[in-house]
Amino acid sequence: MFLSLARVSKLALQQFHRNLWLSIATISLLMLSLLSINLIIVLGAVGQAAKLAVQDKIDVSVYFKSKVDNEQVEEIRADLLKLNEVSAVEYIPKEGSLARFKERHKDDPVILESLQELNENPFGATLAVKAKDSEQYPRIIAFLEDAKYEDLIEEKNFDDHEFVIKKINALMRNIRTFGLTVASIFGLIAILVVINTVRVAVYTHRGEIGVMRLVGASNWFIRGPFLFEALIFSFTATVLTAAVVYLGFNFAQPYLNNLFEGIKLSLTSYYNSNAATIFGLQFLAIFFLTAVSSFFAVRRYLKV
Amino acid sequence: MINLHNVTKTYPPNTVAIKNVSFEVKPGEFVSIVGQSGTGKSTVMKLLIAEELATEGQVKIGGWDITRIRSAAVPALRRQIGVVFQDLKLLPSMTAYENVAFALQVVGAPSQRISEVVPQVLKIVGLEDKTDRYPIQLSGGEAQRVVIARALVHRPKLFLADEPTGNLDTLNTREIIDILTKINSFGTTVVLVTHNREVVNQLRRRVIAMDHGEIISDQENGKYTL
Repeated sequence: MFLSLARVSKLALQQFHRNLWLSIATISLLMLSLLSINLIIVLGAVGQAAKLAVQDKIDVSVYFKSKVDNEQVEEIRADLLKLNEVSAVEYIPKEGSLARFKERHKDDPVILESLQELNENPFGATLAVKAKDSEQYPRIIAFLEDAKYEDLIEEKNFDDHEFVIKKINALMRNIRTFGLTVASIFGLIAILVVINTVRVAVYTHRGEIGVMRLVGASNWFIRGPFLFEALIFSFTATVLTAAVVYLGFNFAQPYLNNLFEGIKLSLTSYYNSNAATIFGLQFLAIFFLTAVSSFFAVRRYLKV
Repeated sequence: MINLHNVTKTYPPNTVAIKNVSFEVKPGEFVSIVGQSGTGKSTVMKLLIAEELATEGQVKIGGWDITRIRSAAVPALRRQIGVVFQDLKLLPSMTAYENVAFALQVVGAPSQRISEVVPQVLKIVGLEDKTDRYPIQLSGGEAQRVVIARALVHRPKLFLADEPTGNLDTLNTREIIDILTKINSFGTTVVLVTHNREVVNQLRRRVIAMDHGEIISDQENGKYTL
């Protein structure tokens, strides 16, 4: 068993070496396919980070009329928290709203004087509502537009953010669609190229296959070197792709930091924490593809 | 050793290669199958190594019914049969020694056995001083002798040679036939497919003659009478 494995490995390495240029071309094409997949992963990660960063700054501020007492606002807060779409609701009582206003206009004595002349707190309570996902804000707004709240709510300031959220969601959808399209095209090209490359590799070894069959080598011994070669192709392509990806990150990180000022996005950290999954799956997918291609390519030569 | 009983082989859609062929070859025999091109000689060879399966009838090798042999069992059959074809099927990137050793390597033979057996069989075919030559550096007869050596490494009980002298001159033909006779003298059953009249007549062994896919004569100490 060990002897056969050693011989299969030796034959595979011989094949790899004898068709060096074909082997290099195969690995390069596999790398291109893997790089395109990684590009899509990176775009997704960047888009997601941008979305989360903006999302974090977004909320719907609901300003209640001053006549509405705090208990009523607490009830509405409880109702909001029951919604699936809502992740948090910050409650700022009337006094808090006044304090916030004063703080915001502490450098404007005219406003502060006018406020003093009123002799009462003109502000109502405020609720700052955060959704679980930016796409869910319209549903929260719709909930607040119910007729029973109409007399209680002075103003909702979601409109300013709505545009930004729509933009981000549209951008994310576009990135996803673009990514999937590119991945599908590259995937299809990769499959065709790999199948053809393996077929050429098998074709160049049809002599050996014929002799092996003639002298009684088992089918698995004949397939072995091609499977092992597929393993070498897949492993080398994945390792080189990982190297190129990390080099690319070092190059791109300063530009990303400038682009997303204030947003913490380290692609290296993102990849480090998901490296096993990302590259493991890519390796398995490429190996599966090359192994299946070689299985079918060899099959036609197994009849001697 | 070989038993064919009413064997017919039809290729789609309806080309009959051999029809109701029956013969038996006893262990240690040397049999020549003769006939013009396209008479079904090579089809018989293909049936014996399970490259093709019979459409009708029964094929037995050493008591083993291989009429409907499973694909997975074919390697086990071929390890017991030495096969030589006119197209040598030598690997050009390997030396004579490596070509012969390859046949043992791919069936998992230990390295020690390979280093013992390969020089032995190369000596039997008289190539002990040309072991490191590549096929392109060998003459037609020498290359054919490498193929014979390769077919001998499994110490087969049955040796099949399909037109082994087809591309050779008279001198090389004589040498190859001498080697086949030598192999037969070790007790190995030899089946030679040929349309070379001189070879068959000089051998003076059993001759099975085929024409249009059928056996037309089967004679001990026969001659090429077609």
